[in-house]
Amino acid sequence: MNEREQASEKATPVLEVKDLVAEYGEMRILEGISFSVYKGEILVVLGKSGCGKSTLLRNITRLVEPVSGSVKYWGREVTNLEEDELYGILRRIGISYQGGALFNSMPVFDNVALPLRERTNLPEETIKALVMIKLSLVGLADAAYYMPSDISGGMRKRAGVARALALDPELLFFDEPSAGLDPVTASGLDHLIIDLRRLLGVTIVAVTHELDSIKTIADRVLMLDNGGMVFLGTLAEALACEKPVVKNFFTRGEFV
Amino acid sequence: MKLMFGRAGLAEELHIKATGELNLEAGQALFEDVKKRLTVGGGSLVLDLQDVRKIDSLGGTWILRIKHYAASLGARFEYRGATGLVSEYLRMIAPGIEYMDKEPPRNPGIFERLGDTYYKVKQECTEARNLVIDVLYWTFMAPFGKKGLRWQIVMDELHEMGVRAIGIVVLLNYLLGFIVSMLAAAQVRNWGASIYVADLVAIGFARELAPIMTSVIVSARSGAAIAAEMATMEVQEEIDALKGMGFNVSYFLIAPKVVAMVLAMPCLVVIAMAAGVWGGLHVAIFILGMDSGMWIRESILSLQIGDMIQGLLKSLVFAVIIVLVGCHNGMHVTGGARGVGLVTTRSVVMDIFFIVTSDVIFATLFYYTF
Repeated sequence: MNEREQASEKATPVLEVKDLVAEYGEMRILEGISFSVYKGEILVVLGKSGCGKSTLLRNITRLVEPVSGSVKYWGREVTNLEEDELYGILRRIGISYQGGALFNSMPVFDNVALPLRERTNLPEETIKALVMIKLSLVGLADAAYYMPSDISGGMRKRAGVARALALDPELLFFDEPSAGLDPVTASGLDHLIIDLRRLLGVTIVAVTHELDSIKTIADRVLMLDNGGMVFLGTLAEALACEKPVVKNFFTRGEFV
Repeated sequence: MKLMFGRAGLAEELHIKATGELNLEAGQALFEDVKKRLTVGGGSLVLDLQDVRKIDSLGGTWILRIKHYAASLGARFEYRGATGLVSEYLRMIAPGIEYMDKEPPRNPGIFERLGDTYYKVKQECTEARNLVIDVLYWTFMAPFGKKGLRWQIVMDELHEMGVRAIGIVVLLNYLLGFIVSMLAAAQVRNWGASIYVADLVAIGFARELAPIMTSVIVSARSGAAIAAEMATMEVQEEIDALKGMGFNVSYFLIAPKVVAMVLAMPCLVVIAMAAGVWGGLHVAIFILGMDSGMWIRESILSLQIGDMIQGLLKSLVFAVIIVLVGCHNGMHVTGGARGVGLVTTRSVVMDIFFIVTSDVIFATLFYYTF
């Protein structure tokens, strides 16, 4: 890749969402959502419970089809894309779900190995080594052969992250990464997100309403309220923002 | 990526220096060269990563494989000199290097499995006995308690287990009646005894076919649903929530199902008996060319009240079996979604086993009493 191509890739957003509208049944959940995420940054989508954060994640990862609007990955429109082409793009994306979403019928090792076995032609020895690396990254190398039902919620979440990392994604989505975890485990997971960006150069979009996590990991924040965007900017700008809804969120409701 | 090799220090130490970017290709080249140069029983292998400026996951896998290979030849392995992000990355994946050689836990041997099965069966029998006692107590005592039985739930269950099952029960018993009549008619018509097929169908359905067929249908329909419902409640901690709020699960969840099933099953069996006779009647009319009035009269005359009682008595026991087996299995689910599927299957298989087994006991009992 020459310098011009490298510069062009840097300028092209990894993810670009424009005028996204999402509905749940007959109910409109999100309207007029537009934002971009650039290579190597961590964007945190935040807002009160039920404001549509997870719905936004489901729409931009094409788990559900948006009602209207545009979603582009690396400059490529993915709404109405053929399944084969979509999988080509999803191959470069990892998603870590709220509860880990592990398959209970197989051990942690096989959960992480699944995408490698199904989506690559790597020999089993390399897959074994890769799985151990991914589990080491999330601190679960010693739990490789446990069944998901035998490990704690925090460990399941981290195993889910290891599975999301299996194919070395360039873009990682986290749905409520530290929700429901004790402060030590939650902080560990936040630092893991930062390490992943620093060591692997992964671009990250995290959906959360945990204030401590937001302050630890966010480069930029996107705040949702009542189905629309109320703020998009850096963390420092968000902390200094005078909009009541933003200020209220960051002062834990002390500001009225 | 440039590789430089040399033996440094002690003669048995193989010193390998890697430079540049350690990725899939570079790692593979490194591994191939290690394989060529490291000899059996060679003392130690040192990987110098001082000049490696970048490493990715696939590059990391080759370090793990080199370590594994060195260990297989009895050589000590270490890497040195990594700096910056490479060093941090290697620090993070270090546990993987340590646990790489750890084998999955071995499967238990035959005696361990036998012993395990013995204790599991023993424990399951105890739990099943406790459940039966608890459920029967609450089923009979709840209506007399302060709160009474949850009749609204009983009505809902009655609708789900009984009313909604009528269609399939009628259809399958009608078809079975049709089949049995044709089979029997083929055997007896040469002797001019076709009319006795009516007796066979009426008595057969009243005593045996209607209760068994209906129980199997209800087991597949409602028994599986009960097991899946209870298992999902267990997985989602709803049962724990009930216990935590001080509710008795047998009273709150199971007793209404038992009452509903005990009410629904005899009704379904009576409907099944009628459907079976109706299927036989159609064979008589359309295939054997008999008069429908004669067939119905013969059916009624052949039937004794004892035949009906036998069928209905069985159906009550089958009803209790279906609910208890479903609840017992559902509440012992482990392992999430797959576990729910497994207990549902297990529940239906156990239902059919216990229904047939208890039917054998009934058949023996009735043989000597009626």
